[in-house]
Amino acid sequence: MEVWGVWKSFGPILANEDISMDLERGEIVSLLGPNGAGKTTLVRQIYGELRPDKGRISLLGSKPSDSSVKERVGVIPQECSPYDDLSVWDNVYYVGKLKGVKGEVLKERIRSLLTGLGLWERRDSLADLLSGGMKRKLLIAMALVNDPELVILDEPTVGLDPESRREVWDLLNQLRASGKGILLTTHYLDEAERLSDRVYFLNRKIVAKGTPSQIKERFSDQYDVIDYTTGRTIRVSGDKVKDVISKMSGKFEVRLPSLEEIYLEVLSDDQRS
Amino acid sequence: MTNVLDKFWQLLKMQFKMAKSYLPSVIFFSIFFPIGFLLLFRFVASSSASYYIISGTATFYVFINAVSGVAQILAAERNRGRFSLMIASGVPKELYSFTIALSAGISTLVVVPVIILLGELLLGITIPLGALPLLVISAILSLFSSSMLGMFMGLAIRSQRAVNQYSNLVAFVLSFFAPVYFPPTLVPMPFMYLTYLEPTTYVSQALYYSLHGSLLSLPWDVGVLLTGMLFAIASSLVRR
Repeated sequence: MEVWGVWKSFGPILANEDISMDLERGEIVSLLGPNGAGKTTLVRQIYGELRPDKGRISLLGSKPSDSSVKERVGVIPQECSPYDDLSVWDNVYYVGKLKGVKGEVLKERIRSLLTGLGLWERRDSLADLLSGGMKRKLLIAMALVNDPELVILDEPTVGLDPESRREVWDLLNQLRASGKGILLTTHYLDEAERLSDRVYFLNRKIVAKGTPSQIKERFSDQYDVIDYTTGRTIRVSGDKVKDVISKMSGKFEVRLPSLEEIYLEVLSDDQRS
Repeated sequence: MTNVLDKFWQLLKMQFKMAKSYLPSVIFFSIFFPIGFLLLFRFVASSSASYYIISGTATFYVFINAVSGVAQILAAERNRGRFSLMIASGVPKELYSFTIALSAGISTLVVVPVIILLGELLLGITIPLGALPLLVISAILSLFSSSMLGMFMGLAIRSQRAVNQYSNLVAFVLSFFAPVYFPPTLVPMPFMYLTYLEPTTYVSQALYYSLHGSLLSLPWDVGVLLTGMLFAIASSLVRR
């Protein structure tokens, strides 16, 4: 997936400003940003629901609006729910049919996805009767039923309990290992840090990009030293770390600030500028 | 083209499968709604108005069901992100909206013969066999026009709550502020001309003449078709 200089406005509101990014096969790329940063607008342009005012997007070598490319992409849009009056099986089955998957291949894929996501026992239940977390899992199954080469997930783990989030993470890791490219938007910074090969901080425009460790390295000239004897955390610059820990008698930990802390700092810098 | 037809067929199957969940209430409403109306009018209207009672009741039912049904389903679908889901699955917005409008229209279509049969039983009218093709044309066009109006409202109005309120209101207003239970010529001038702006005028007159087996239904059918096309074009402009 490649995005070149995309601009998008809604009347006087500029949602995306000169966005360029890319995603290779076999990697997970996360889009991070506060509410209203333009993440969903960008994602909607990537899967072809909106057209950019300026710039270009290429998905698997085609335009996002090409119907043939939709059969090779899996998407979970934001704030989307499965069909309440259809069974779990039917929800996946009909989306599979619409994406051109047929016959036994479709049935086998549904069986495998529902089993993997812990929904097989509920396959005949109406989607309306599922919990919020199970509905998210069902949407994931619907997005993956065509065995897509590229997966676009707009906040896929919202509303999931920690165990279910882990299951989804495992699934995403498996998908990456099988060579699929995954574009993820999330509000959970720990999720982005654990899963992503690369991240983009978005606040209308891209304010930072790179691997989580590159971003940490670039934006952190300070370390957190945690003294387990006193429970205190001291933030010190790199050249002073040795001095501080030499004075400690018990156990301690030295770590870079988390991606979340850097994210908040980068965004507040951007808003100030 | 085959791909689009296949998607259309799958979407229709999906819609009808979902309709199963509310089918019992639809059947109940579909039978008791016309019985109530026809019995009421039988006691308050003269027998010479029987054909208008049937065409008016059918028009009222079609507009209540198709306009508000289609508008509210589309608004709810938009709210639940289903348009996004369908676009991401390769289904054009237009096709999805049209399938919803069509499936809601077909569910409504079933009631038109029920109303006519009840009219024969309760009001004692006789429908000539030759009227059947004209009735089929008028009923299908009526559903097209009302579904397209519902589609326009469902797509044009942003808030789901507003869609619900307006669609119910519009269906009632169009049924009772238009010559639906009587001929347009009874409306005093200059208001008579205003009634030609209401799609229900064309629908009711088309059904009325069809019930008699009269070819005079055809010009009214053209009016119904044109209003439907107008709403379809307006919907496509809204979607852009």
